[in-house]
Amino acid sequence: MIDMVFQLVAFLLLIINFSDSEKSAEIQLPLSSIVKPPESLPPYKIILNVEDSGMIKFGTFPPVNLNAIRPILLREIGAASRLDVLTEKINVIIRADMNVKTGLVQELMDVCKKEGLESFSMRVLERMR
Amino acid sequence: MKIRGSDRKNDELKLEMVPMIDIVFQLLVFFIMIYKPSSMEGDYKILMPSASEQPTMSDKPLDDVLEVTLVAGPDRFIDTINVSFAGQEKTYKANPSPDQAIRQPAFNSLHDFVLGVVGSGNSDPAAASEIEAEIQIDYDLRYVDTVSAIEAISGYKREDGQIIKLIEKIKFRTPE
Repeated sequence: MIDMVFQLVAFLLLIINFSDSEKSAEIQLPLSSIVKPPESLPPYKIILNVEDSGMIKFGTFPPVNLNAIRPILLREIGAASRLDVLTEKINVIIRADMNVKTGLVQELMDVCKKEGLESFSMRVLERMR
Repeated sequence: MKIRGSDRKNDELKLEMVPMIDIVFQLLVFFIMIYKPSSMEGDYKILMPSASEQPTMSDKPLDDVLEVTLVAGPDRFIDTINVSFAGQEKTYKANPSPDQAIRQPAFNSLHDFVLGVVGSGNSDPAAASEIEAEIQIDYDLRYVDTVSAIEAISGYKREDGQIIKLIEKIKFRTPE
């Protein structure tokens, strides 16, 4: 029985995804039937959470508005360059709430683009049948 | 006289099983409590014209570009979808209702148009159509409808669960 319990603990330890700290729980992602989880990881990624209110959340930092996102991007670009990752190879993953204005997402992409970021992904939730 | 080390047997560390089992069970309960099964997340790749590029210019010949315009209606839900490709133009009117199922037929029509343009698609992502889609979106349109339009353009899921790719190169037209 102890063996079994240890195996259960090990299993639960393995399946818990600790990378969830980058995701904002308040965001309700749109659903899609035709997306699959990415098969490979980008060399460096920046996950930007766009909340229903229009505020943008990065990591565990407090939400900021669009005008205040640039310093965060510059810091991340700096961190990527220290790892020898070119700015254009950084993948910007946008996790936007389903009710947010699309124009705001486009403006966010524009701000990123002005800093040399080129690779964008719009994150959605896989629709379960 | 007591000889040092003679009672070593009694000093041997005993493995206390009961507290260990307690701890293990507490760990087990903790992990079961925090485990939250959730749907997987996936990405749509989006191309953005480079900063130096003109807002409406595309590097593809005009015949290879599917142009889609999404117009928001009341409550910022989709109202109209305009689509054009190689001289064909269509307008699909949507019912801008908060109910996704009521808005869906407009996206289905867009999907049918894309199917007619691209063909039945390909299950190999590398062989997805060379046609590029350029989407112009009303600033206020809800993101959920933008994603529905992108889904309609990108592909579909067959009955057997296989994903068929239609257009993978999707570009947002820079807001004017």
